This record gives sequence, C-alpha cells and structure tokens, in this order.
Amino acid sequence: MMLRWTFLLLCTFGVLQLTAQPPNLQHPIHLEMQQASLDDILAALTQQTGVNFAYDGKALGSQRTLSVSFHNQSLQQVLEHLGRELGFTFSIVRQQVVLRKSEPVAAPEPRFTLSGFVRDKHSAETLPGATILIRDRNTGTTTNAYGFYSLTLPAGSYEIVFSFVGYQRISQQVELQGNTRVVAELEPDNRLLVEVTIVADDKLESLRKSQTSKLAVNPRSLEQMPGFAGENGLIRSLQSFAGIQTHSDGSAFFFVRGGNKDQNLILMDEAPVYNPAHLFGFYSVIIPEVAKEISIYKADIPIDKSGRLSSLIDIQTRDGNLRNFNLEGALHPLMYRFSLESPIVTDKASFFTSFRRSNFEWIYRQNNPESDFHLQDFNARINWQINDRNRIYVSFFRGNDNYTGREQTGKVGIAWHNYTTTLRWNRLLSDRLFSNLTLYASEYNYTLFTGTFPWESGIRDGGLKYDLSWYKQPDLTLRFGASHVAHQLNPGNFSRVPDEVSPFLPKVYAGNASETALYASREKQINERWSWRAGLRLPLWLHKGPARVFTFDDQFRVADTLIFQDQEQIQAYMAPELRLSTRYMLASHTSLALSWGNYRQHLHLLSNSASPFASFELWMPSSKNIKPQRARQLAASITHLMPSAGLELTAEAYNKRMYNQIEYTDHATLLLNPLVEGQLRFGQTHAWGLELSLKMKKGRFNGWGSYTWSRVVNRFEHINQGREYPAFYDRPHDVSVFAAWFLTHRLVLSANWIWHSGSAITTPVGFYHFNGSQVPIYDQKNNYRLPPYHRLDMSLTRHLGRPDARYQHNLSFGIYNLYNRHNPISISFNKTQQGDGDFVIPSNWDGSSTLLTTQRYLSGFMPSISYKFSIQ
Amino acid sequence: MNSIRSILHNGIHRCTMFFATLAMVLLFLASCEKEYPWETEFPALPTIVVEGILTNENRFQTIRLSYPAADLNASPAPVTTAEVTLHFAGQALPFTHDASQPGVYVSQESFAAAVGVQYRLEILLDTLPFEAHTYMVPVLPAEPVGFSWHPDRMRYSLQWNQPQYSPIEQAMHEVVVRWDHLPGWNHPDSLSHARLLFYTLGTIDVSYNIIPPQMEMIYFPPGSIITHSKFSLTPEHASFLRALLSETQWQGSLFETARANLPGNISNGGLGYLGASAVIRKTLVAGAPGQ
Repeated sequence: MMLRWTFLLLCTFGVLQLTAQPPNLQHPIHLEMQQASLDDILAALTQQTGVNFAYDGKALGSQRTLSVSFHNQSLQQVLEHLGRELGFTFSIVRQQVVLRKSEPVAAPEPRFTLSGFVRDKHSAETLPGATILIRDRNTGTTTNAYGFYSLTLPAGSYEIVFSFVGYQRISQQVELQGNTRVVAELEPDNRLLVEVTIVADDKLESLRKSQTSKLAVNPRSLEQMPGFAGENGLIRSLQSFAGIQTHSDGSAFFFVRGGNKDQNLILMDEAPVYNPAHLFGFYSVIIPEVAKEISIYKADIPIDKSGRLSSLIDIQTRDGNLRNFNLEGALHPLMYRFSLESPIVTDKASFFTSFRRSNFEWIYRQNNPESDFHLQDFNARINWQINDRNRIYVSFFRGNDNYTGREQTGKVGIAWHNYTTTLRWNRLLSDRLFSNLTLYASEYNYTLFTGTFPWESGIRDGGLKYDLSWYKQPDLTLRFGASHVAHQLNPGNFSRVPDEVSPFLPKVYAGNASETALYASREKQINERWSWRAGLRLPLWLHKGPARVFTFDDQFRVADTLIFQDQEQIQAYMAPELRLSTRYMLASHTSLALSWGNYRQHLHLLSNSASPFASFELWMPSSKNIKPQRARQLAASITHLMPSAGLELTAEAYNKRMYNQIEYTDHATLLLNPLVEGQLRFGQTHAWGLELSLKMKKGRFNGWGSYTWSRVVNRFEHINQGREYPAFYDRPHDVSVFAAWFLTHRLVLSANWIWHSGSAITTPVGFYHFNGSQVPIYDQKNNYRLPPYHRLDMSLTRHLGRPDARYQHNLSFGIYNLYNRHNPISISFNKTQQGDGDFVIPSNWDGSSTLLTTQRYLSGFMPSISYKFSIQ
Repeated sequence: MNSIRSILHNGIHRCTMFFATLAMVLLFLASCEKEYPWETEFPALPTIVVEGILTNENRFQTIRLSYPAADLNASPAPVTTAEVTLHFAGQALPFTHDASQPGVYVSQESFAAAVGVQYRLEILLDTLPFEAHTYMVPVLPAEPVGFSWHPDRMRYSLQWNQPQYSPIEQAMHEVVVRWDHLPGWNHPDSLSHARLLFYTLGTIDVSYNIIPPQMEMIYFPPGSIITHSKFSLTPEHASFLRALLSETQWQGSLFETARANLPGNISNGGLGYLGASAVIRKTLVAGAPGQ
C-alpha cells in the first residue's frame, strides 16, 4: 500500500514537473480590441497563449481602457507595449507573468557651466595654469594659456578654491543655478618673507592634472637664481633642471634627453625664436622679467606646438598691467634694461614694453673707436579686452647683436637678429568652447659684413593657427585645430654681389617650405584616480622651389642636378604623430604617469662646430636628400608629495630613439657649399635615463635638487666605421642643487651648484709629422671624457626701502663660479708658450717649437653687482 | 679677373684684422687657457707617413718617408729601407734614399712635373705596399708680399696680403725668411730663419677667415731675405691641407670644428699626401724702413 502511494506521488510530481513549463513570451499574438480594459486584454492573451497573469488591478488601473491592434507580434512585445502605455513592468515568477507598477523615472539633474578667468588682482594679468578646485566634489581644473577655465557641474552650491604659485589662495561660494561666469583675482604673495606651507587640496589637484615631463617654471623664481655677469637668462637657468644640459659656460646651446641642439623649439607668444643667444651664447635673448609663464616640455609635447624632437619651451610674455602703471629697471656694469607697463583703458586695454642694451663700450672703445659692439632686446605687447568674449593680443619682439667696424672698403663684422610678431584673438564661442586664432611672423638673420658684399643666412616664417578647446564635461576636454606655416630659407649666400662677380661665386639653394597640420586631442578623467589623454597630429610638409637640387650616389658623388622653379614642389612628407599619456593616483599623495609619443622634425640646423658659441649655422628643410628626423619616446614618472615636510619628490625614467639624425663627413664644408647636402651622414641615436628631483618649500627656504643618470649613444654607418660612440653631450651623471634662503625680510641668499660628468671628445692616439706640423691620428670618435664640470654660483640680494613703498629697489651681489673652477671646454695639442706666458699657435714651421697640451676654459670667478628697481 | 680677385681679397682679408678686436672682447669676457696634464707617449702604429710635392721645377724631386711620432714633440723616425718608384708618362723613375738626409728619397734623374700628367707613386716597405696618385693644375700670379715695421722692436713682421678665400684658385704660400747672413744673427741659439705657410682656399671657414686663433708673431730685421713660393693646389690637395689646418692651426680656436683624420691619398692606411704643384717664386730683401 505504502509503495503504491509513493509511486503515485512520484508520478504526480513528475507530471507536474513535465507540465510546469515557463511562460512562452515568444508566442505570436493576433489581437484587435477597441476601448478594452486591461483585464479584458489580459484575458484575451491568456486565451491565446495559455499564460496566466498576476497583478494588482487597482494599482495598475486595470479598468482604464485602450484600443490595441497586434498582428503576429510576440507576447513579450505586446507586454512591453502595454507596459509603456499603462506604466507597468513584467517579470516571470514561476509559471506566471507578474505585472508591477513602474517606478517613476527621476527627471535629469540640471547641469550648468561655471567658467571665467583667473587674474592677478593688481595688474589684471591672466594667470595660465592656475588651479580651480571644487571642494566638496574633489574635482577641479586648471586655466589654459590665456587664464580661462570651464567646468560643467550639477546645479547646487559649491565652494570654489582658486590658487596659483606665488599668489595667495582664495575661496568663493557660488550658487550654480545657471551658467555662471566667475573671474577670480588673486593677490600676489609679495611678502619678502615667504612662509608657505603646501596646501594639500590644490597641490593635489595639480598632482592629478599635471603632465609628465613638463616643467612649469615661475619666471620670478628664476630671478632668484644667481646670474652670469649680473644677468639672469632662461637658457643658463635650464641646466639646473633634470634632463636638460647646456653645452658649457658661455653657451646658449642645450640638449634635452639626448637630443641635439636643434631639436628644441622656443616659442615666444607662439612665434619661433631660432637663435636664443646674445654675444655668441654668454647671454640669452629671453630674460625672466619679460615672461608671464614659461613651460618646458621634455616629452609629451602638446600636439598643436610640435615641430622638434626633443623639447618645447613655450613662453608667454606679460600682458601689461590693466590697472596700474609700473616701471622696472636694472643696471649693472655690462647691461641695462627698463620695462614699462600701463593700462591704456583701465580694465580694458594695456601695454607692456621692455628694452635692454649692453654697455660694452668701455671695454673696447679705446683700442677700436670705429667699432660698434652691442646687443639689445625690445619687447612690446598690447592687450585689448574688447568685451567678455573677445580679447586681442599683439606682441612684438626684436633681439639683435651687432659686432661691426669700419674699414676702408666698408663695413666689416658680424650681426644677427631675431624678430617675432604675433597677433592673437581669443574668443569665447560659448561658456564651454574657447577659440584662439594666431597670426605670426618670425625672422632670423645672420650677416657677415666683409667690407665688399655681405654673406647672409637665415630663415623667415609666416604662420596661421586656429585652436579650439571644448570643455565638454568636467571630466572631458577636447582640443582640436589646424595650422599652416610657410618657411623661406637662406642657407648662407653672398648678397648684393656685383653682376660681374656673381658668376664666380657659389650659390647655395634651400628653396622654400611649408607645413600644414591638423590636430586633435582628448583628455578624459575616468574616475578620481585615473585620467588619460590622447592626441593625433597630421602634418603635411612640402619642400618647394626655387632650388637647384643635387642628388648623390652611394659614394656621395653628385649623380644628378635638378632645377625647380618658384613654388614648384620638390618633395612632400606626411606621417602622423601620436601622443598617449595616462596618470593614476596610487595613493592620495602619489601619482604614477606614463606617456608615449612619436615626433617629427622638418627643419634642421647644420653645424659641425664643436664650439659652445653660436656661429655660422645653416637652417635647411627636409628635402629629397634630408629626410625628416623622427623620434619615439616612452616616459614613466612617479610623484610623491609630503605636504607636512614641504617636499615634492619625482622620479622619471625615459627611453628615446631618434632616427635620421644628422652628422657630417670628416672636415665637412658647410659654408657656401652648393653640395652641402652631400656632406651629411645619417644615423640613429639612442638615449635613456632616470631623473630624480626633490623640491622643497618650507618657511624661509625654498629650493630644489636633481640627479640624472643618462646615456646618449650614436650609431652612423659612415661615422666611426659604423661603431657605436657616445655623443658629445653624453654625461652619465648630472647633479644640480638650487637653494634660496630669506635670511631676513630684506636679505635673500641664493646658491646654485652644478656638477656633471665631462663631455665626450675625440683625442689622438698618435701623431705624425707633415710639412712642419704635428698631425693628430684618431681612432675611436669621442674616446675621451673631459674632467667633470662643476661650479658654484651665489648671490646676496638686499631689498632696500620699505616693503610697502611705491618705489621698490634692491642691490644684488653675485659671484659666478665662486671657487674659480677651470672647467675645460676643449683640449688641444698645437700650442706653444711665449715668454709672456701666452699660448699661441706656432707660425715658424722651420723651428723647433715645443708643443704643449692645453685646455681652454671659460668663465672663471666672475663677480657682479646689479641694481634693480620698480615704481608702482 | 684681377678685379674680381681684388674684390674678394679685400673683402675677406680685411675681416681678419677686425676680428682680432672682437676676439679680444670675447676673451675679456670669457676664455682662458692653461696647460693640461696629458700622457703624450703613444704606441707605435704600423704605417708610414708620405710627404712630398712634385713641382714644375727641373730638379731632383724628393719624397720624405717617416714613421708616426712616439710623442707630441718627438722627431719623426725616418723610413730608410723603402723602395720608392714614381710612374708617369709611361716611365718608372726610381727614388734613392739619401743617407745624408734620413728619410728623404731623391729621384735618380731630375725632371719637371707638368700639368696634364698623371703621377703614381709606389712604395714598398718590407712587404707592405703603398700607393698614391696625383696630378698638377696651373698656378696664377701672386701679389708681392708686404711687411710692417715695428719701431718698438726695430723689426719687421710679415703683413699677409694674399687672398684667404678664392672661388677661382687654391694655393699654398710658403714664405722663407732668412737673416742668418746678417752680422750678429748667425749664433746657433738665436732665431735666424723662419718658414711661414699661408693658404688660399675655396672654402669659408670661421677659424680661418673670420675669427682665427692667435698665432705666433715672427719678427725679422732689415736686410732679411724673403723668398715667397706659391704652390698651386688641386681640389683634393687643398682639401687635405684644409683638414690639416683644421687639425693643427685651427684646433683649439673659439670656433673649431669636429676632429677627424686627414683625407690623404696614400693607400693601405698610409698617412700624409703626395701632391704635385706648379710653383712660382719671388725673392726680395726687406730694406731699411722707409725704403
């Protein structure tokens, strides 16, 4: 009996299992009903499909009527349609379809844009790179190059914190109930006694937003550094930063992460400056006082300002004080300069102008009264705020050197100049869309006056650029634009040559060139920890006539001569450049960044000089014979802040490969050589290194220190028999330390110490006698290393007068190379010593002069004194 | 043509005078020089140095052979056992070692080299063969050399007035000044003769034409005999001498260029150069001041 019931139960269970299928929502439905209630419609569906429905009729309003017409639609589609009409959702629960009333969808939160400018309170100058932090949301942004920011946020009440280096932080409460414009004005932190503790929030925001391989240099901090002969120059100051090395004392050449001296683009208000050297390199055309902001990129170069492989130095000059008149000046035995800024219309238009000139006459006039040796700079800028949405800037720069005299035949000597002119129009197309239109012209010209007809070389540019920045969302910014620049090149020719002489003089053709580029980038903040940026640039390079182009065979002999007319295309190059970078906050005070980019360079500076001084160099375009230089660089950095100690630690590693690098055949002839392209040899450079830096700012002390370990190795098929060799600027170890102490509120002591491995040079492995000379025999290129370079500079500045007086002035005493270190720049084996101790080249090739090995060094102990003032 | 040479000469030459002042400014601001400790003894290099210029003078032509020097100031060890033969115009002319001038090989017959003839020098040292090819180009007239009087020294110095740059010709100028025949100047310890070299090149070089290095000044008394020889240079020979200047006289100048070995024409790793030059010579006497 028991067994029978059990069997029956099991069968019943089995049948129930077999029959308990889930409802088939794909069952086709054919139904037409007019003004039927939900109850009736569902009953009809049940009849057609056998599916049972469970629902709360009262909650769903099942007595409401509607007309339906379904033909061959699935049950699921029918239920979805009914659900939208009557406001219910459905789900399968066991063997039934359960209908539930839908939750109301919340209306989207309104979002509004907070935008505006950050300015200096006294001068109304815009502040690029200022930080805007939204306190409670832990988000923020930074101002662009023109001081503009834009953030889109949900409606609400926010505390906004504005901050910028060298200024006092302010916070402002904002009720964001519509698109709102907030212009923040920051008070400069002009206290002589600088007590600064790192403020966690805004510094952290900078940490999140900061870019790998970028240095944002405060020009005012450069003024604290001891200068050379009383002058601070940007180029000389660069050697204090990790990854940047200057050639030697007295040189304006610098090398960034293994790149050659022509791989650095210097832009002043968007226009290129081709030769930043005054007096062959002792001074720089760029003085910190003229700059509002200086940004140095060693990698991850902005996509709209590409053009060189290794670095970008982007200088924005001062706008001019929109509210107050200000006169500044500096005097010292070799130089004087003045700058003047003033509003033209208060808060609407202003100008800034500066002038600097040398004072060398007392050195040479007595011996050579007909000579004229001088250098000078002139900067001018007009800034006009037309209205809330439009702003115009006009900038002009001229720097020139003149070292000439008068002989019987005419003017003799050397002169060169850099001119730049820029017109920019900022326009706010909307609160989230910022545009900038730039028109610029640049000229660099170098002239050797021979007394008859001069030799000239140079390059002229004319460019147009249009950039758009779209602050689409707080975590998403898009930038895009287009540019076009035309180059006119003169690689060194005699000019104003009489017709009868002209056929006998060589003529070097470089033709003309242009580069047109489209570019776009996207910056995305994924979440609080992670952001990334990607950029793409597509440049088209055209080399055009007029030119006489020589092609060469494998032995570098002329194979063919091609003549191109004016604007006739000779060669085109087009290849994309990519930028990828990402940043991740490992912890609240620690971030990790990674970047990768490929770079192209179409303008090349030809010079086989080993000298630290700028001399007769040629700018040549990418052409049939000179392919574009290319580079790829991968960089990774980690930054850690220790706010309580006022410390910022950064470690950055890089690996960089450069292709189509230019070297020269032995004893190449570059000047006045129509076949100059045949003197070039091409190869590769590999550079890699680790940069460690420590910044500290606490109380009366601020400073930084850096250590770089790096290598730069070349390989050229036709140089050094194809063997690898170190570059001249391969300096494995590089240390620099800068410190400034505010001893009292009037007295500032600063010191700068630099040490680096000696440069690699070529020295002989033997000599032979020929025609009275001892001729060196070389084996490996750059086989020897000069002794390590090091020097200590110090300066003491005393602020005179009262801190709150309108007339501010100070006196600085400086010593360049305090312990008179003789850092050799070259070693030679060809001198003899005269009775007066001078080293000279022997002239008598019949004599028995004893040759000595000598070193040349520059810039020993050099004291200076300078007086600076400002009237506000 | 003369006016063109004159224009070029005046232009480029005058620069040199001016730039001495410029260099002074730079030197004031910056550079100094001192001795550098350097080990100047080198291991022997397995090669020879060939030095010779065949000229259009009908004479016994000479070739000098030596070994690379053991140190910077060592006299070169002569090569005395080489077999030297000059091939030209279908003939092979042997050169014989002159025992009175170690390292100097003299042609067994006198002859004058000529324009339009190809010369091939063969050297066999032990089992090592070396070869050189050369040819000659014509020489253009030279202007008379000038000299300046220095009253403080009561001496003359040479005032070089030949063009340093010319797109038309390249030449080497040798000026030999002798005053050992003058009373009081024939003491072996006193400087009584000098050999100075100047060049006219087809290139512009910063360290030569524009800012040259400081050279030793040679002073000589009135009555000195000055012999100016102008040697024509082929483009290859000029290129070699320009490289020689770069590695010797211009080395260590404010604008020196990258260093490298000289582009000689001796095969098999040999050093030096065999040239062929047309020569013109002028001899004059430096008279008393005012003459």
